[in-house]
Amino acid sequence: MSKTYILLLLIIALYLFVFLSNYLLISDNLYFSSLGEQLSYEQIEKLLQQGKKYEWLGYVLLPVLTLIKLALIASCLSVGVLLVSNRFAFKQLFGVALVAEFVFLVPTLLKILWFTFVQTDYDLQDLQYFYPLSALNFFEAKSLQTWWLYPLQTFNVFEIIYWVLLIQGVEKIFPTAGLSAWVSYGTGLVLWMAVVMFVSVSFSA
Amino acid sequence: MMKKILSIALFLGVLGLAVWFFVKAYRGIEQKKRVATNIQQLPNVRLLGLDSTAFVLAGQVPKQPTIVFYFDPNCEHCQNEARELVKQATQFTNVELLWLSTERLWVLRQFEAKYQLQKRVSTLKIAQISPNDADKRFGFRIVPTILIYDNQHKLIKKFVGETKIDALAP
Repeated sequence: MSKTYILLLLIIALYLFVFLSNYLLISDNLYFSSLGEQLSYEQIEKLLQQGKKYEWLGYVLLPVLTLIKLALIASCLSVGVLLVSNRFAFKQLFGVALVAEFVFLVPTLLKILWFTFVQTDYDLQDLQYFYPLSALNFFEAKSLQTWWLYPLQTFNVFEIIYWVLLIQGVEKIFPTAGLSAWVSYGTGLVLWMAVVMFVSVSFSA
Repeated sequence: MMKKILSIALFLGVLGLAVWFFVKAYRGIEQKKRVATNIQQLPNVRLLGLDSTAFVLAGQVPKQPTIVFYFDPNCEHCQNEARELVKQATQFTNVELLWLSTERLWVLRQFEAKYQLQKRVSTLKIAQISPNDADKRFGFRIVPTILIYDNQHKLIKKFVGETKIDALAP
């Protein structure tokens, strides 16, 4: 299957999951029960109206952000491979990142299933904090400060599988570049986590 | 050889950048912890009233329940809050209300002229707080932020963002 079709399949799957999440998990009632302590009925209604007005933006940005993410990961891998093989194989490594990305559909699907069938009584914070098989499960998520969420969510089983798939993909094309790609992607991920933590500390109340 | 040096330099450069962000984030977290402890008791901060007279935030005796609103005159949510507060002013007859902003005094006077908060709510005072005190003493980042203190000036509740007036009433 060509890369274009795989990309198309990934984006369709992402759209499907976003639609299912919005349809099955998020309702006006959820907002009223989650925000009712702080906001009046009218304020929540206004918030919902604004949210609905800009809902389309999320759908437009979804493929753009996915492409940016894949491009950044392919760049990290390319640099790692370049340093051991003298070849800048961005296009091939973009394909590797693209295939591996499907792993992250699993936690999204698990999240939908969990809140649809298991924990049916939940609020907005539960949805925000939930990440199956992640380090966050070892903590009482609601008592944590917001800047710990992302790093703890990032340490999860699917991330490990993703790393393995990336390295296998790279080694199929460049048999000697596995370790180098692993280091370059790992360094990129650490930098990304540091930036996210810095931004959440700087801008949170 | 050159490639090896380049790869080590690149690796160390990116790692150094990551460490820099982590250190900045760590310092930010420590600062937030300090602020969170500081605001448990209403801080003694020097403020400037609309008539340009200076006063101390925690200075009134006897102590009264106090609500601190950190606001910006141009913020739509703060303007909504002001409109709603004026409508329900009777709920706050025994509560000291302090609306603090880092804006210039003439802008705050314009805000008062428009919403008549001080005029219509007798226990309310609008005042200017220095950006340094707003940041370092209170850790204010978002407008509006609301801190509710009891009659011993101990923090009871903190709200970030627009909040219904009913949630503030003691």
